[in-house]
Amino acid sequence: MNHLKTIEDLKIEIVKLEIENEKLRHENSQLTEKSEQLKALNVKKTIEAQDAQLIKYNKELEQFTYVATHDLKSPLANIQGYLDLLEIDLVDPNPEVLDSLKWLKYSVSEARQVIHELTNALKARNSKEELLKVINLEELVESILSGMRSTILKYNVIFICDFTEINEFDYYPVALRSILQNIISNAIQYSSETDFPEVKITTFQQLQEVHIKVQDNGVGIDLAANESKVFGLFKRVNNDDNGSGIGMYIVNKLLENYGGKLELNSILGKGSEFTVIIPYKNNEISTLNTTL
Amino acid sequence: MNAINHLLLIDDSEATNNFHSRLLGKLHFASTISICKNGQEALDFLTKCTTYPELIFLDLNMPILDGFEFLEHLKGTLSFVKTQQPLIVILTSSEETVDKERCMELYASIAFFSKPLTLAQIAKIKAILELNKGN
Amino acid sequence: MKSVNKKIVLLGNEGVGKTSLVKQYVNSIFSDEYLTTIGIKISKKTIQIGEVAVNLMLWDIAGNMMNKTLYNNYLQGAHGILLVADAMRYETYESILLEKENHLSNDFKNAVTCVIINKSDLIPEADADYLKAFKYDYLTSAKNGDHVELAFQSMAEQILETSRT
Repeated sequence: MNHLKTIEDLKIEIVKLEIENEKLRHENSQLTEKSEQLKALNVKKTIEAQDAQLIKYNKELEQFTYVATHDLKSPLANIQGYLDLLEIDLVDPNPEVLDSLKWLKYSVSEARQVIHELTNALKARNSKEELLKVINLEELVESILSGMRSTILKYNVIFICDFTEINEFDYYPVALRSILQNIISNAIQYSSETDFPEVKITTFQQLQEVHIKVQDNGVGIDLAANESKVFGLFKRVNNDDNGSGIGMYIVNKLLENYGGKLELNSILGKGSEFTVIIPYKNNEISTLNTTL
Repeated sequence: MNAINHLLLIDDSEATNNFHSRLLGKLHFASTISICKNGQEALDFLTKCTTYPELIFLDLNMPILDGFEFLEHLKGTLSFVKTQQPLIVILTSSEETVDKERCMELYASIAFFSKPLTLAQIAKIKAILELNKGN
Repeated sequence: MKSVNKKIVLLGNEGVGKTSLVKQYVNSIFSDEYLTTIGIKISKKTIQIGEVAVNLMLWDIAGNMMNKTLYNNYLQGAHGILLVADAMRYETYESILLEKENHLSNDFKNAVTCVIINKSDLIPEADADYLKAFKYDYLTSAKNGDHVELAFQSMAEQILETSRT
């Protein structure tokens, strides 16, 4: 009799234990879940704190850059002014003095150029100030090239423009001018090293995008080695005359701000292709501030 | 022969004021050149001076009373400005986006030039002065 | 509907009116403002000739490239060449004749060549003898549009003709 009872008891025990087990498993998984949640919350808080810190540093850096460029402008302008005065004042200067003067003026002009570019870079980072307008690319590029006329003639660069596929679209004129100016300026620099420098600018439309391609037949860029350099702040890929390298940084910032992206293809020795890609809404007549 | 009798320079930078007075002094541009370090000093100076300046160089960024405030007060407090409106040349640093409209609303006879002042720009200023004399 | 691409190149000294001719033909506009062309500008106009839709690719080549004959590369594949001169400057006419005789006739004899005297609007009305000094295919005015369409149209038709034979 006792023997039978014991087995029954055992069975009940087992069931009880299994129920207990289940409970414990359940509690365990709940605890694990809670633990995960707490961890995630912690991570989130850490990230938020870091973000806030980064934003704060970023703002401070921007302010610092602004103050630096702003406060440097006046002294540099004065240096240039005093150099002009010196030139007027010099009575019968010897060639060495004149030479020093020449290089002094050149250096000041370089310094002012850097400040100018830094100022532009700062502007490019900040929120959109422009309005969407209809762009006539042919006119815009013509205007840009006219501004670079002396450089183009100096290096004998031949420009070929083909906007037959698409010429008019909505975008932000000042931003686009700056973007294209930088890319075209680079193209001139890269191609100037060849005997017959040529830069082709073409447009084409792909789905909801306008592609503006600037292709040069210059030295090309070793992308594997240098890609981060091409777009990095202040970095230059080769020793060109102009540009502190900040140009491409500006291009990217502007595209980030106003919408669009930049693609780069390059083959060493053959040339480079910079393509600006801009979002394009198919043919709805834009009533947004069109000025003709 | 001086172009004008009295030139007033208003700028908080001593180097800038010195440069302009040297340059314009060399060109015998004005018989007298006066210098003020900020807008308030300039207003005080103008209430007391006997020969009113025909030309004023103004920097917009100054402590105590900046360029804009100076223009606002100039309009209001100085009655004889209406009869002898001096030409105010605002010297800006490059790419400084000056609120030109705001300036012109505050004062009519204004011209904008960028620093540093060059001989060509001085010639232009002379021409404007000649034109104003004629009117 | 058949569609073909034909390349027409415009050559001539600076300021003769190549760009204005293209703008008049493609956009029906004219501007007195002179902005010298830098490099090469390609425009397109599609016209109908019989059953064929002809895409005319117009290559406007900067005048300053002519003296150095830098345009050779860019003439490759040209079906038609429009040589443009300024009615008011005889030397621009001599210039294109020289190109035609010395150079194009040899290297690009498969292309249809036309001589255009532009700026007909400036020719004094009373002077009937003025044009006697010129031998040309078309007398155009990019400003008022005179014969512009005719010149391009005829060129296009001639090109199709030669491609059939």
